[in-house]
Amino acid sequence: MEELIRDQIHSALEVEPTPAHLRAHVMASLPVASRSNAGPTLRLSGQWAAGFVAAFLALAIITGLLYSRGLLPLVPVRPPTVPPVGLISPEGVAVAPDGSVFVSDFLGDRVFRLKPDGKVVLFAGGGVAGDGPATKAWLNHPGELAIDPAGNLYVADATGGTIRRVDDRGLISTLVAAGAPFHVYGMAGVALDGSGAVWVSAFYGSITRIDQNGDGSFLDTSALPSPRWLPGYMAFDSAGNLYISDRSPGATDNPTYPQNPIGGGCRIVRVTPERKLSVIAGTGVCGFSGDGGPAASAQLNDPGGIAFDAAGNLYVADANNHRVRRIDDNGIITTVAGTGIAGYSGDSRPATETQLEYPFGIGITSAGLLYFADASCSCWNPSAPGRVRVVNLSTGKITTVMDGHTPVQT
Amino acid sequence: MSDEASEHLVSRAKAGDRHAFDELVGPHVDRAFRHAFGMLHDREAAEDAVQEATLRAWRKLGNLRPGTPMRPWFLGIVANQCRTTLRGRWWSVLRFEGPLGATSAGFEDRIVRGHDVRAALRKLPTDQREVLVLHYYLDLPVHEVAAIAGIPVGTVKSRMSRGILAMRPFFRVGEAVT
Repeated sequence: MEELIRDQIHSALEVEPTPAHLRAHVMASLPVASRSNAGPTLRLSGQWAAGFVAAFLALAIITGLLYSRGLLPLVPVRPPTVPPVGLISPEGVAVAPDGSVFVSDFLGDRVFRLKPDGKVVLFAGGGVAGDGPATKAWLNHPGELAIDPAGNLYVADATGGTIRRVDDRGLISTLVAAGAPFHVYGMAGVALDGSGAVWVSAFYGSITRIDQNGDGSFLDTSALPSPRWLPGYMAFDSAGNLYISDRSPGATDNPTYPQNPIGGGCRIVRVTPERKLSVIAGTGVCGFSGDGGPAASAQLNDPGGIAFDAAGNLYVADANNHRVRRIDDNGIITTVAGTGIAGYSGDSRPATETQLEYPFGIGITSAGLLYFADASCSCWNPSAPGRVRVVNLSTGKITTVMDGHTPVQT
Repeated sequence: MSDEASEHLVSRAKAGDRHAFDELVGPHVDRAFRHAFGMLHDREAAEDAVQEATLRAWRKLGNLRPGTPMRPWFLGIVANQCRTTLRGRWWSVLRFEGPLGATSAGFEDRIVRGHDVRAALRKLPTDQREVLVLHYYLDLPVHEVAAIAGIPVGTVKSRMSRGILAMRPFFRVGEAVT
């Protein structure tokens, strides 16, 4: 009887699914100002209220008299300040076929587009709306970005719990939402395979493939050697193998799902089209070692973004080693940017002699320009804004192309 | 499953960080809507109730202590908001006569089949409907229903019994398994 009642009440009420974006809408409706401004209203008794009104009127009369006699200086009225649109915390990077570079701003809740002519435009986020015009949409900690051959941009909206797509008309839509039917929460990474299927990695360990019919399947990761992993960003090579960064313990404080134990083995995991898993870089122990030797024997420390150049070399943002590293087709790992010491020492030296601070998302153009998010903060500290930098893989020169002061067209 | 409010998130939310608040409350918005729809039987009213409850939760953050289980805390506010809505002077007249739920073709059969159960649920007193929706539709354990409704566990059970008894003629044995 218990199950019968449950089934029939479910059947009776499930005719009305939860509206898409309800979470975003209700959160966006909260007062923008500090919560304390929305606190309990002071309630005055009738006696106090009358006194308050009398005092207010008296003050207004006195002020009016002073003003009319020219005894009050005129104070210019400032226009309301608009929150800056500039870059705060660069996170994901994706390169489009036309040479445009897209950068997600994890703390700024926006996605920027660096156009080939060097100008920066706001591409998505910063608003309070749901699906529709992308620049009016609300993003909630956007992370990895991916681009399909048609030029549509996919955004792993981490805390928002969605995978969003922005088409070439600038319209944003929701492809995957947290919860049913795929039960994917805490989106970390997004990548597209050759068939156009969307792969989603989640902070608490799942990898889900969702094809163009909307059918989903989970990747069985039980064959992965210990320690428990913490999947991050992803990329496919030209042969259809999927590469996934396995981050470090403590890479996220996992605020949304604290009940899930945190993993992280500081590795790069490869998944073949037959879904066989292997570790191609990292020993499972976080640290730094191994440059000039086999990647599988080298140590990484919180690897983030992954990208391939035209020759098939794999590049990984070794975030907590403050380096960008390359794994060639013989499996040998080297450093291509960063000294290992966190900081910003400008662009005057070769990339391998330049300080980086927590590089994360990576994208490489067909011309061999490696763009990366030099995040410069631990994703929770807006007082230390990050930068977008580019390494010319032919010359080894590094250039900063965007920071918090770069003008943004909205 | 634990969903206790971490000290880190609570302090950030109290300082006005909407993202932290979203991480605390956001995962429960889906259940909140389902509860509101189960109580109000009107999509628009359910959305309004969830929105108003979220705003109330935002304002009540000052009372939230780290370690408080978030789901009963937030759903309790939603349940209270639904009761307030149902007490509205004109609401029952205007809303209960309106069309029900989604009408897309894919749901048509289930709407027809579920109509009797839904109509019976609607006619229940609010207190009985509340515990049935929380327990059977949101699949919450009885002790959590009690926390949300603000009543003892024994009262939850007695309200559930009375509600089921009233609805018994509308439950069809042949449709137990779907």
